[in-house]
Amino acid sequence: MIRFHRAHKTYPPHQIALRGVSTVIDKGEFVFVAGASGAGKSTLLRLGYGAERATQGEVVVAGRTINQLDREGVASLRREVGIIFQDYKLLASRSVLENVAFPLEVRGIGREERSERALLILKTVGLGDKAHVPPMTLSGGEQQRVAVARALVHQPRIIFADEPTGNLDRDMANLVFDLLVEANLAGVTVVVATHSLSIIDKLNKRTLVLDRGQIIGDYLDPRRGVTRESRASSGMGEPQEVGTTAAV
Amino acid sequence: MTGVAHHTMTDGAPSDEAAATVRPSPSFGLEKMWRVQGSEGRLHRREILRHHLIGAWSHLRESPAFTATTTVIMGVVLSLCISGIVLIYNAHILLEYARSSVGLTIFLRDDAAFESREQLERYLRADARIGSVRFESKEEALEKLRLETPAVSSLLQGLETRNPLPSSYAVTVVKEYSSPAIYQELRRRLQQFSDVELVQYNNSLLGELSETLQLIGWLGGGAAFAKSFVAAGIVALTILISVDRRRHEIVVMRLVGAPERFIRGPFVVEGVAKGLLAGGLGIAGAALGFSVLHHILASALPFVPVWDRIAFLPTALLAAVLVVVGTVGGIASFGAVRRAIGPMDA
Repeated sequence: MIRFHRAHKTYPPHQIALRGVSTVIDKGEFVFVAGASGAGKSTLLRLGYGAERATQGEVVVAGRTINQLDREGVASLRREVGIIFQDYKLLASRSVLENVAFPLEVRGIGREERSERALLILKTVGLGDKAHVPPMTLSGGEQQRVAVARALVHQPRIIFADEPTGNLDRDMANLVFDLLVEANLAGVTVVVATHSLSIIDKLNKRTLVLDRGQIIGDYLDPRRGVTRESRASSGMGEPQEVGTTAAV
Repeated sequence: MTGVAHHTMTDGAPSDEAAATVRPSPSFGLEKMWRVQGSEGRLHRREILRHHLIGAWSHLRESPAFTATTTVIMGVVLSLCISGIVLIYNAHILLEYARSSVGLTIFLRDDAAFESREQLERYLRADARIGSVRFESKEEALEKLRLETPAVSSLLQGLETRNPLPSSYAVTVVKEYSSPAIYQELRRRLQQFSDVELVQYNNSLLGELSETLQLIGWLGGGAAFAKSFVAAGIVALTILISVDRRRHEIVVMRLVGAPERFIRGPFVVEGVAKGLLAGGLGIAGAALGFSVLHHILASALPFVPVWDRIAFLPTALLAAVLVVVGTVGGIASFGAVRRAIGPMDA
């Protein structure tokens, strides 16, 4: 579903964000990308949804090689993914319902159907009664739930979430992650960049640990510290390729 | 947290302690929702056009003062531009009028034989460039002079027996051939007939008039062309400002996968709309200016015989001006939005 192969990213003039990252995220996986600020988490996600291009190496998402996509190709990819940000990125000039329905609008889905689907997902995230208010009148947690609803409304194959709970209190953070876990249970591949260990520990999902642009750990069971390598060496089977070229 | 904690460090995440109080996850029903497939959706032209129109309308009304100011500025520039077109148009009309008024007068000798007169007339009628030929006898010329100058008609009475006025042919040239060069050539040829005394035409008047009107036309056209660039520049500038104000919206559009035409379309429609609005204002301004100036000049110089011929632009030309202005607005916007949106993040 998502494959990074020796992906480098350098920002001008010489700021290296990623150094030869290689990993594979399979369909239906829930993966955390963890690390301190500046470790390269956001860059990794931005490469995934085509906001950046790898300086070297290859990134393949849903069968598309990102570096080969033109602008329309990137737009087409994004219609198949959902993206969630720490700062929500909602449109102040549109109502909550219109914000949520926006991904359906750009797909050309009729007004009636998109309103129905947007309202349904808003009810699902507990904001059915806020459909017609401007998003800026909502609390941070509510705004993030709107952003999650917008990311889910078109039933994406992949969700990229970049520090989705960074601005939220504990309860709201839990609620947002509950939504992401449930989307994952419905078959959506979820990639979440976070520096919150508590959430990783709570959900105990596969976790890629980044440090200074390199993957230094690929934990299948972060609570017990089981890495891909340790599981493979103990004969517990599975992993295909996956790993880090530079890090470990 | 053993494994991951070795490698990561938190930046004070707000929900660290939250892990300790893990509560059971509620079920939102997403899984059930996922089983219900919505339609795939397809961007129809009608839907895209609707989106562009609504987007452009929201851009225009978002800041009425900005829209009004820029439209009025463009309207003023365009009214000057349209005034230039009015100048060209009327220069053309006057030139045509001048050409149609110019004619050759062939004065015959007093002793011209009837046969040679007939020969000359046959020659004139056979030439495709000649529009009309009218003979005027000596007597008719005297009568005409008498009618045109009633003040001296008593003096002319004594001339009836020894009329000094020559008989003549008044000749006009068809419009397509009405140029100083043709007149000169005809004059040279007709002068060779033995019984032709003199061939006259208001050569210098036509030549000077042509040159003056052509100069006016060039100046008007050049000014109109330059001003249309200024107007296009203003449209491009307002669109750049508009794009800058919607940077966040454009980034969000890109993030949800909006096609480029979906993002750029409203700005292009906005440019077309501003062009049309400013064009309408410009036409109204130019029409008002024309009307006032025409009235003042016609009152001050009533003896100039052109005031009833000078006119504002015909409807078809006005429609063409609007189409051009709208197109220029659209093209300027397209260029501006392409330039502004191209390097935008995400």
